[in-house]
Amino acid sequence: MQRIRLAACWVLAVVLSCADAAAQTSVQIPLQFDLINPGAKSLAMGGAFAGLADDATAGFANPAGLRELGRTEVSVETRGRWHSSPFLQRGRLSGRVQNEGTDTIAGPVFGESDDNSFRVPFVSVVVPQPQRGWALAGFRHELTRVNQFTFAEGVFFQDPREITSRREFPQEGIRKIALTSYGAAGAFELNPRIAVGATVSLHTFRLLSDFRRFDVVGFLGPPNRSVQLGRSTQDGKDTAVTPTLGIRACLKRCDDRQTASARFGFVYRQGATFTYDTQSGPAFRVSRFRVPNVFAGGVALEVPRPGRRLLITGEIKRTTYSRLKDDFIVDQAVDFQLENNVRLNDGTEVRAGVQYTIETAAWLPRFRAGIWSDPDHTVKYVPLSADHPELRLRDELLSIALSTGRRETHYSAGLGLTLSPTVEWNVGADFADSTTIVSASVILKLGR
Amino acid sequence: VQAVLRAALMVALFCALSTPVWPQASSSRQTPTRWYDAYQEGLRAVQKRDWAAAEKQFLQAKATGPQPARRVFTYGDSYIPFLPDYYLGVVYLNTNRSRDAETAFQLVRKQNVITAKDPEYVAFERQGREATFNRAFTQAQQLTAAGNFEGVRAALQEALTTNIDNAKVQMFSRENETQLLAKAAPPNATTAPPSTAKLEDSPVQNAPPPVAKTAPPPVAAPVATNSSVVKTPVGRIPVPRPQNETVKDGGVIVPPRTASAALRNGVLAFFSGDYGGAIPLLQGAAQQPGADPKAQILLACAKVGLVLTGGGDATTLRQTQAEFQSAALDRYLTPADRRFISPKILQQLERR
Repeated sequence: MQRIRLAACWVLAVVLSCADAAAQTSVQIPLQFDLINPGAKSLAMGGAFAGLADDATAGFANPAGLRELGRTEVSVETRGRWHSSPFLQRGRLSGRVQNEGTDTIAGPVFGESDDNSFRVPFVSVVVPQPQRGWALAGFRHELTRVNQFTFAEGVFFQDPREITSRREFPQEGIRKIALTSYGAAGAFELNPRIAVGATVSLHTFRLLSDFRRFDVVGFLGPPNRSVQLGRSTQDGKDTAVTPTLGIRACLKRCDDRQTASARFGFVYRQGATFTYDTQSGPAFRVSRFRVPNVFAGGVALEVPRPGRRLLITGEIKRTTYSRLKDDFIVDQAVDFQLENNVRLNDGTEVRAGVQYTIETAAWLPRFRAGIWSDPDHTVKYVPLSADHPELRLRDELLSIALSTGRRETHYSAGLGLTLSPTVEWNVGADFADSTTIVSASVILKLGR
Repeated sequence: VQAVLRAALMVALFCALSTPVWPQASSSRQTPTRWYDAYQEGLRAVQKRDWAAAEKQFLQAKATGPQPARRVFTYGDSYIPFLPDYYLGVVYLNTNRSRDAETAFQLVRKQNVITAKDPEYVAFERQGREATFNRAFTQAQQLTAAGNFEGVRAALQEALTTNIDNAKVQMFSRENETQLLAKAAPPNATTAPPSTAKLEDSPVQNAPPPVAKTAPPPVAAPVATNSSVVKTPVGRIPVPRPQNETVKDGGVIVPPRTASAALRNGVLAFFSGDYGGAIPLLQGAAQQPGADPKAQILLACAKVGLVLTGGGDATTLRQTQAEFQSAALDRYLTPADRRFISPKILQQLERR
């Protein structure tokens, strides 16, 4: 009798799910898209750099800061990143656990998709022209690298009004995004207190996503990866050009650092827009990937004391993550007609950093620390609140699958040393629950 | 294309919005606005031996920059040793403004920014003594020209303490003693060679070599008193007749007493670094019938010196070079002359 009931369940589940299997969605695999400033110094100071922007990374952080530089500089950064994204992997969301096959766990179980990398994400050259009052910079910056792999075994759920459970088909997901910027930046001094800067960046974009649904062995059994039920891919390779505009102002002459000083910086960085192709079952469409815009305002206060120097920075950064919703997020939800039920909010980051310099010590050690609050910028699901069991269960599935995002507090620290008049070395690390970043940069100062 | 245009439009708009403050910006474009840029430009000018430019930049850096120190922050976490007074001293030393150089070096000592462990120390120590030497020697020449032979001794004594060029001092001292005796003794008296015992016996003769790292910064020696001059055994020194030529031996270039006042004063003005004052005097001397070719050489040198110190233009320089080369004046230049005339000046004159 029990065997018959199980067979009935399996048939019902397959019938109810077959339409979904053909139309894939990857929206339930959360994507976190971070836009972190380059440079170990910036990283160690919590990324509060718009007001400071006093090194070779200024071409990205705030091009107006380039004007400060008095010597030709070459900067190279290496960065290791360990990031984990949770995704709904297995378990039973509702209904009674059968304790058979893979249906043995009550409640959702989240897996971790690890995305680790060790790269050289930033290289720049700055050539100042003090006589003419301007500076030029060229840089290559890996704005973001995403390399996700997920495999969900398929969760179980049951509507109270139904006698049988349902099961989501197992899904394998691969998502790779590479976004690299090649920038040419210039800064011009309007007067000894104010400088403006602009960067024109050529971005290259590569997107490769592949999501597949597989059959299961029986209804409660493990995934059967030899039988593919559906597939959705996103493939894009594009380039775009965008500007970044910055301004920096000092309360007194910017080069007067003998007494307490304050500097302010504002930067607007326009996100690029790229096109890519989506193939979901038989459906083909061309979509857009829109990188968020960033507007940041920051302040840097420097207090010199005999033999030591304290620098405090702060920044508020607004990032329009919502630009990713149209069309990238919607594109992954449209096959389920859920495009109106996904949302991605813009985020406001608050950053603060501090640097303590011991001027009298060898190598001029600079101890840095920072803290910043990273808003939740994962995709959220707005339930349909429908009465139909199938829609209600979909609500349940996506609400839980997309429930993992939250505001995170990052803590950072680092050290800077001037090894010689021509070599500067910085290390920095940033720690949060989901991400650890370690960075080291070398700055070579050429000429006098 | 649309994206590029959009980006260009935004940048252009941004620039346009900043234009109200551009006139102020463009008016100051000839010189760096930041003190550390001016200082670095000055250092580059020193390397190129462009003294006029270096002086301008260092003065600007000094005026707008912080107090000199070994570690002064420029931008970001960068720092430099900021020594504008030292480099101004170097500039003055190379433009024959020994008194200014000496003052600048004294200021550097007061600031205590160059100590024995610093890389500039050896050069600074040498340059400090050189400035004192040049100033004292020039003073001696001026006193000689003024006929104050007693005062010359004190100046030469001070020059000797620097241990820069003792041979030159002694040679000049002999000349001075000779002239002093000539002034004191009857015209036909037979005299012995001038004694330089006072200077030669001076303890500073045994001063450490100029490059000794541990040597203390040079200090001005006590000025010889008149009583020390009186002690000179004048009676035993024969008085030679004044020479009719410029004395070149030992590298001392002093016009003979028989030379015209214009030439004497012109030469002294030239070696004092007063190129502007030297030119009319030397011009007058060079135009006299049977003029010494040295007058023409020094006239050309004074013109070049004036250009190099920012008092003349490129046309004057080219014209002077052409005159110097067409008259083949270099054939009258002796190795001794080359010791005392700035190499930079000679280099300009002999450039083809």
